[in-house]
Amino acid sequence: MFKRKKRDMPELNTAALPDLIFTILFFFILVTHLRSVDVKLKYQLPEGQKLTKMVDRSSIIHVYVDALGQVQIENALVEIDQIPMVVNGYKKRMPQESDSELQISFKADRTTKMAVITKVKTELRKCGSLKINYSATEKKEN
Amino acid sequence: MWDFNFHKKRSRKVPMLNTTSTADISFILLVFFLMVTSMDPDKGLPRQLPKLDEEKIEKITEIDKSNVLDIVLKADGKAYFAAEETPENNPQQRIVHFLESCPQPKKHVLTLSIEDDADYNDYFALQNKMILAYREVRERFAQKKYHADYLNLNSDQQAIVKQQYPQRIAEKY
Repeated sequence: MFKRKKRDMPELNTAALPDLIFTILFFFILVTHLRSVDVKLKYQLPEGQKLTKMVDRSSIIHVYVDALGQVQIENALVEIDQIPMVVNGYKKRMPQESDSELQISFKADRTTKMAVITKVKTELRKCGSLKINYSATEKKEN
Repeated sequence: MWDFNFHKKRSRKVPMLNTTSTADISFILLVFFLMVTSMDPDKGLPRQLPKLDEEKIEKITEIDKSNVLDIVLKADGKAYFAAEETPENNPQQRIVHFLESCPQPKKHVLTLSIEDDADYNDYFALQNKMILAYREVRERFAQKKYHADYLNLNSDQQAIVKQQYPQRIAEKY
């Protein structure tokens, strides 16, 4: 008497789900970029206002400096006096036409002493890498 | 008898392709991209370092001195201007004031010397202030001359503004 008639649950149509996820996937492919460098140093970038965004990502050499004065170029830790050699090695591997436009993305910890920074900069000047970009995070304006 | 009616085939039902796992596959792809890529925007201050061999120290003559502003970044993280005893609290305003009052803005020089014990953070903040000061001065000049924002000027006009107030920063090493 109380036994209800068994009703069939209609199945949820998931046909559009893959499309949705593909859309998210494409969004991520477009917005992000491959992480090429495995950073071994700890650093906290300084803060700045009205910073410029780096546009050309093809010919960038990443240079990291931490508070202790250790230097990492791309994937390898290097001594300060080896910097010109290492940078020139990377330069040779880069495509010829972009050679002159080579940029240094300089990421140093905010507590690094200027003695170290100046040394690193002098070494960079020795190998003719003069285009430098002091990386920073945008300060939030209150 | 033979049946020659080829056009009228018996309509067969095509079985539906099972696409349930497409979502899973694309999820895996999505997760892969999330892990491998990073989104951090590379922002900063682009600068041009001087060539090492062309390090010619220009002699500052008596006439030029009014066009030169000495800035010293000391170990306490404060900027001292023009050999003054007390640090400048508002470097940006100071530089703006200097740029607008110096007799030959096209030939001015900001000389920056840094003490070894100063922090990179303070150095960066000072560099940032310098850039902001130049922006402010150029913006004002653009307003005065063209009555328009610097960014809205065409490239020729921007070049004229830049010529009026070029960035001339000399770092001492």
